[in-house]
Amino acid sequence: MFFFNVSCRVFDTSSHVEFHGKRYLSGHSNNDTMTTRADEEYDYLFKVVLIGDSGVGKSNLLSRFTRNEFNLESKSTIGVEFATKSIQTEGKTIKAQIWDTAGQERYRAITSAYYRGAVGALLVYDISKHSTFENVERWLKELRDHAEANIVVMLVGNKSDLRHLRAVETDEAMAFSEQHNLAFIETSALDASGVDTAFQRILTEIYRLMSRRNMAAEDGANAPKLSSGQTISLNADNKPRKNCCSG
Amino acid sequence: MSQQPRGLPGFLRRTLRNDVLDAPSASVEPGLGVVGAGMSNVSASGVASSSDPSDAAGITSGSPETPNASLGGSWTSESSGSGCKQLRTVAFPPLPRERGGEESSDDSIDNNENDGRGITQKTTKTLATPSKNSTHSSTSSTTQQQTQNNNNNNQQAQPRSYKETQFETIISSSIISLRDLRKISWNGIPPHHRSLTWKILLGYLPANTSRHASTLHRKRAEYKDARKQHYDIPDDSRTNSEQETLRQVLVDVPRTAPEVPLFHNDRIRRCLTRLLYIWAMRHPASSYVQGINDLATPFIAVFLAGYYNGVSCLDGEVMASVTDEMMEEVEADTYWCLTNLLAGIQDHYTSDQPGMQRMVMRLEELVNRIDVDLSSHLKETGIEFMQFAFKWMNCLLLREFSLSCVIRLWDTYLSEESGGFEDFHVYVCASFLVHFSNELQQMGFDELFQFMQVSILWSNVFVMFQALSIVNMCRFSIKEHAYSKLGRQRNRNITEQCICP
Repeated sequence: MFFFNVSCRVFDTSSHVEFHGKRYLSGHSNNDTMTTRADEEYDYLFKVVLIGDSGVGKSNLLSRFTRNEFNLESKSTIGVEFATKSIQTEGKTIKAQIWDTAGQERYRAITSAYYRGAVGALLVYDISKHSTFENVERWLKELRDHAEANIVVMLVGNKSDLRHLRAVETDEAMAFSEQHNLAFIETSALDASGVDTAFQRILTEIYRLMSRRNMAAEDGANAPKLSSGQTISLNADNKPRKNCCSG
Repeated sequence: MSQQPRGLPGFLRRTLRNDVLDAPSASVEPGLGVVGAGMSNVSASGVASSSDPSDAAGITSGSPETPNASLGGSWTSESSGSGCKQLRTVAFPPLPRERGGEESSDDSIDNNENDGRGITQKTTKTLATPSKNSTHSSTSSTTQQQTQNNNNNNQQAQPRSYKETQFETIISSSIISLRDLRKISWNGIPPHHRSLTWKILLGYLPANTSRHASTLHRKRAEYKDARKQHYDIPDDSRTNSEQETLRQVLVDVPRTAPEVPLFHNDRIRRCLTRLLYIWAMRHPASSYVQGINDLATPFIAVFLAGYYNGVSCLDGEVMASVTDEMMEEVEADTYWCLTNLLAGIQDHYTSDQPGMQRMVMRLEELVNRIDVDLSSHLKETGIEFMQFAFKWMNCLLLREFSLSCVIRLWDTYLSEESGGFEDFHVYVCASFLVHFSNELQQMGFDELFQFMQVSILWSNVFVMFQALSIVNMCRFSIKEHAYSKLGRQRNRNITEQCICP
């Protein structure tokens, strides 16, 4: 069974209030502002990182997904950038907090700090540049070293509109993703194909894994109570999650 | 200002409406730009006026007791009585995006600094002043000058400003006094002197004027050799890491300053590619790091403008008249000046970027001292300085402001005796945070992050706001800082130097 960690950092920093089955972030966080209170209403908050070589189109994937914008002349990302968007899946509202990282090697030290607490990663390469696909393994290692063990990784072949320049065949990438147990999709931030699907799929996947994990955790929490011993850590660990999935 | 950006938050829209759109109704002298009038409110709120002796007194008395009153307050506030006075006595620049406007802006800023003789002092750009490269100003530069004449038609007959005469005296002496040059450049360099002045301030050219020509000749030849050695070689003779560096440069050059038409030009892009690659080859400890490409853009823009009497070349129209020889010279000069600039901030780009981390930490510490409320609000929301200020340090605010603003800001950075880019820059960043303090304190994590990273928002504000007030804000912030908290000798020195130039 594939267990899954809810973004603990996020959930732990703010208390949750039950209200008509919906969950609100309370305390000194986002909804203190007077702006869009409705936007703050969500069931789950997932942190997702965008990684991959420089120039493969990470920032444009993000702007296409969150603002439906594409900019052929976008500047290189320095450090990290950040955007959010809420989607609906299986009757739940999921707010995705997406961190777009700089692709250049020199920034690894800074960007890898942002893997902490991430529950999903879109590993992007450019279908018209084979070297960006070759580097995917290095990025996977990067994730193994710095991210949570249970992070959901989706391989994204971007720039699928550049058919005449294709350097990475779909079959090749698909075989690779099966071998490494990754989800896979081809997208084009330019013509928007596949972008929403990519984010929708990874967020849904995260949600399902998390629900399964929560159920398992609840079972696990109940069972030892009846019997004996070693429940302390499990119980303590479970408390917030129990609250999380009861909404 | 008709194209008011839609996405602006309320307080910024207010700014545009009150300060700019209503400005003509105020009794503005002819020749004052609309935006200039808007900016007068800045001075009204007690920032820009610090240089005027009469007003400075008011500020001095006010600032120690009310540390955040002026900085924290929005510049949308209505002009006070003294502000109206400022309106009449201070010449404010028109929009920088108009050719000529930007140039005259600096001059007019400086008028303010001189002796308060005010608008009658506002000069045209000294069109007749021979630039050091006037041999190059061919037919096209005549066209440029005509355009400029049209822009400044109100001011043609006016005399050269006191400041400008002073500048001329300093820069044309056989041994240039660096101390004097720094002092006078701090408040802005007249555009037609900028190219030369930057080269001197960066240590690329010596203070001894008679050695300029030979130095340029030698350095340019040296660059040519470096180019032969590193760039003009077959690709298969490059190592893997060299190829990777070249690939990265080639990926980034087309994404450099895409909002500036000049950088769409192929020759400019090739020149940028070469000099970045060669710099990387010759500085293996840091090699090319994204963001260094941004740092080269002000040099290219300024040095190119040096051939056209300082008229801004940002629209790229001059490129048709730029000779290959000029291009080569600009490339070599940019290379050396970039090298000198980066030499001062070397560890910003080496492995793990320790310099950058240090700068961010210092910014955090500074904000902590100046504005406790803001600092604790940022802590509460969970946002880290590293998350938003890293880019400010890495690209020296080139991502946040229009290029013409940055060029003006760099006049000041370069005039700082020690470490304008390392030291003073932190104060500039802090003054922005403190300036937006009230607004920032209303924001949660998401909005904060969005606000900090949306450069369009910044440049819309600051195109209008312009370099003058930026530096004045900064100056004010330091002064306040010196008075209230640290009182370190160094800060006092800056303060005295800034407030009483």
